[in-house]
Amino acid sequence: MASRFYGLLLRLLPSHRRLRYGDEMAAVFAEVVGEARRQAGWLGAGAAWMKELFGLARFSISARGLAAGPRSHPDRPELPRSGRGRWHMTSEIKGAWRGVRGRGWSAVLSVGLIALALAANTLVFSATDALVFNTLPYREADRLITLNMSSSPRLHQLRSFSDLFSAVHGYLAGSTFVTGRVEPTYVSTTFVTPGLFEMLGVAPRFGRGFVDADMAATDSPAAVIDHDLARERYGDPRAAVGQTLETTDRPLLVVGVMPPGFRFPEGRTRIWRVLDYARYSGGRVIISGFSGFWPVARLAAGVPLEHVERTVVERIPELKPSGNRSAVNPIRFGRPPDERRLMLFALLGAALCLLLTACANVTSVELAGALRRSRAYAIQAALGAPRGTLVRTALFEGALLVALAIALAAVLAVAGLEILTSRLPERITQGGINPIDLDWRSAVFMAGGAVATWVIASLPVVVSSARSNLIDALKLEDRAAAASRARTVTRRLLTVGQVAFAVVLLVGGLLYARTYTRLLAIETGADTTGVASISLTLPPETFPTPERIDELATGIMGRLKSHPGVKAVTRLYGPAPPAVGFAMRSHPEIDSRPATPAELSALIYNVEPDFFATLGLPLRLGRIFGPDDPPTSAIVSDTMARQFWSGENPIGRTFRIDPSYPVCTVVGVVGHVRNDRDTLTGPTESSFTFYLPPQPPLRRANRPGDSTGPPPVNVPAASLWASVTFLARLADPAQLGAVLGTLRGTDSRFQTKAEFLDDAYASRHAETLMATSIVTAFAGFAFIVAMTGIYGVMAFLVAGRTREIGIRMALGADRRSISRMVLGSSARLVLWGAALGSGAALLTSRWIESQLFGVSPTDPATYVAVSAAIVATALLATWHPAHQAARVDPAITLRTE
Amino acid sequence: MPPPSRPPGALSPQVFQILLSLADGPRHGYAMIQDIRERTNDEVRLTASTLYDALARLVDQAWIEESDPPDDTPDHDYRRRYYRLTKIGREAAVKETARLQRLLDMAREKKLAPGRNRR
Repeated sequence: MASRFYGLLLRLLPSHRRLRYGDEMAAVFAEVVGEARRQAGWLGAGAAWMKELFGLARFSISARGLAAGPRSHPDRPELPRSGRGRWHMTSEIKGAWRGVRGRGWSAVLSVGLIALALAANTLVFSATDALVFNTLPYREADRLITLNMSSSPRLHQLRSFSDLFSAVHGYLAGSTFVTGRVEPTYVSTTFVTPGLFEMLGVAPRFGRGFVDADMAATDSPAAVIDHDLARERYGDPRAAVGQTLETTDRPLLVVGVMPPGFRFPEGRTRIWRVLDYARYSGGRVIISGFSGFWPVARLAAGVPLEHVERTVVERIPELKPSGNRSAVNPIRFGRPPDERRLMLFALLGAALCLLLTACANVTSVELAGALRRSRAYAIQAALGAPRGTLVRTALFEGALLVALAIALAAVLAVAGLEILTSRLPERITQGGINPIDLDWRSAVFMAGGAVATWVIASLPVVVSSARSNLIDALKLEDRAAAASRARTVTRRLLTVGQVAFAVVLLVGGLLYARTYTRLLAIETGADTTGVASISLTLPPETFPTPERIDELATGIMGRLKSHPGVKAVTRLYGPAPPAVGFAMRSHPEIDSRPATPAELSALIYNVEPDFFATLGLPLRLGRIFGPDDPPTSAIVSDTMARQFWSGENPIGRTFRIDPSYPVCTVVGVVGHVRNDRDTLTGPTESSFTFYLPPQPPLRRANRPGDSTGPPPVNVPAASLWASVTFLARLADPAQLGAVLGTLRGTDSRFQTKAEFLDDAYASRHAETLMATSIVTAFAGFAFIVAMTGIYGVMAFLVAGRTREIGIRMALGADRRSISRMVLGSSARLVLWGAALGSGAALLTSRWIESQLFGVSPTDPATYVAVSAAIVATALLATWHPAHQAARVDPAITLRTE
Repeated sequence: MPPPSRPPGALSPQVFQILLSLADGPRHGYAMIQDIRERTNDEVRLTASTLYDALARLVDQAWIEESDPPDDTPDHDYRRRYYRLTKIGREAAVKETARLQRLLDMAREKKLAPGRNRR
């Protein structure tokens, strides 16, 4: 735990320092603390921690170059010695500590409440920061650019522009199959030119980076690996250097290990290898099936981006801007889509609502406490304590509460982060360039939140202390309470605020939850329940030819068919729905006439005839193609049939994807299966889906002048891999594990992955699920807070009005009317809160309208349900105070007077 | 702004002690802290952050550099890294020692310090 916390503190340092020195510092600090503890016990350890805390803060400041003094000198001005003022501070803190301890459980609750709200805010901020706000974790990352590669400029040409760029490098995505375990594991790999790490300003943690000599052909090519991979495979990351990493291809020689947390170009890459660009120099880079070769460059010192952009286009005219991309772009890896950004902002808003609810609750409790303590204050004031002292005491007590809350919040945030990142889909946590973690920015955010909390929570108490009326307060307590009506009004307002925030959050949570259930309920178009896609990833060295792959697939097919738990099975040639089998840009011709619109996306699945039965996809018209059908027999989706042959019988009609492609004949029509190109409401008009018998992907007929393109770049063999996919309908979903076991048999030459189609469809809505769970959790929490707030206010009110109630009862009021009076005043608060909250929700829910589906942001049922729930629960929370009030014995109450 | 108490060019006690600590040969971080504390009788106590604040800048300045652990170290903590003085670092330490020596000589001439003045 301590080392975890220290790791968190290290986030105060800028990343280049942390990556370089962080774990070393942690090791040294562990020894320093250990020794302090041996020498002076826990007190010594505490002192070491304090010293380290200040030291880290100073290190953080000096490492950012914020410290005064010349930067070039390795020296640092000494700290001024703390003088007498410190003792003064200590006594203040001691006083505050006494004050806070005197509050008992209410202090614990306040601390817990603020801590939870702060932790929630920090977590949501961390996610938003990593995915939206933060810059790249490289040295002077704003000087790094990428070039518009649509026209593939040559690296050496860019390198000759030394007036524009201080360094030019490139990278290429690939893959490695690591062996030595049960099965070959696919590991995302990036090929980089030597010197790229140096340009980014990140050095390997152990070993070295790439040098030009690594490009020479060798039996074991050099590789730099990720810190986690090094620890997984070799235990001690340092020991990884010099080891060989067995792969299905040649073994890799590990020459370096990157620091923990290093990502390039995104989090999934765990192996980096040398890209021998020189071998391809002169050739343009065209690699089918890959994200392509990307140049990354660092702008020369002092050269503005606009100048580079202009000059580069002048020198290489093909680089002209295309679409919304200009020729030269600052690099921004893993930028999330707008929808997700909006969602993150909505979550930040929800977290802020939660924090405000917690603030309102704590302020209200503090005010009640201040009321109780007002006599003590008044006596202190009467004895000559200046008003300033009282205000300072209030401020210090608030500060202490918030400080305790920060400590707890840090622990909660660390624990919560693990839960959050384990729940999020990999494409969110690993897709970005910044890991979602608690860095110094999160710490600053949390500190800012804490200061805001402190101000908001202390202000009313401070104001009321400053104004406290000596005479009133010195009178009997009840009267004092009655006299400070202003505070009671403030507390009521605070309660109304808590209820209002809770309503906003509840409305948001309910809207998201309804959206998610609606999304899950969207029809897939087939009977996908119980159907699993099982895909094998095959290393190219082990399965070099289609024949070898077919041989494997046939064997597995036989085993799957004979398994009693499998009702039906078919082999797919491409990914399973909801992924698109094979998509291409098309200029279709329908019955030899160009279609309108002229350009569409063709979505093609290559399937066996039993695909349709396995998936439960109903045949609407015609027949399923059989083994004797030519490869141009097509089964089209009913949407495509409507699109091109509206109303007419499409059987026997012809179409082709593009004038250069063979003509296909329609033999059957099936229903539409939802795929990733569809919108939430159904297929788009800009694409059409059809099925073809298994065959090599449609080949473009050779046209004269078509083959003059440059030869494709020779990608290292381990970058290409094949996959085989099966769809299996299981009798019982629980049998998937057993089925997978028989499938593999003793063969360990490939990697398997299985997923139920329903889960695959649901995973497409992971973001909505995330928003739903987070907002619902916040809403539930705010709801409880608001209810305890109502309970507290009502209980306090009843306690303060015991005399009044006694008098009323003595004058003839019966118990029921007393209960009703208490319940009524509670209901007034809640109704105000519900009304205000609903109004605020109506205004703010429009911001999340684009993220909702199947439910309107102003959906009346949602608002009514939330308001009814909150009013009912509030009355329940008031039951106990009302009961207390009704049990007041007028005789006893009046006797004490 | 450097504090008025230290003339320009002078090293802070921490930095000078780190350089002294590495004068015998490579050391890792915690060994430096221990060595400095023992040598100065607890007067200069560094903690992880103060040590690495200085180390980071010394590395930037190339006064010190990372080195392989000495051959005889039975060391299994992979997080430990060893540092040694570079030529520039050694020169800086020598220069600082000379400066201190000059000061001491001056003090001796004024009979502020015990010992013989060799000049």
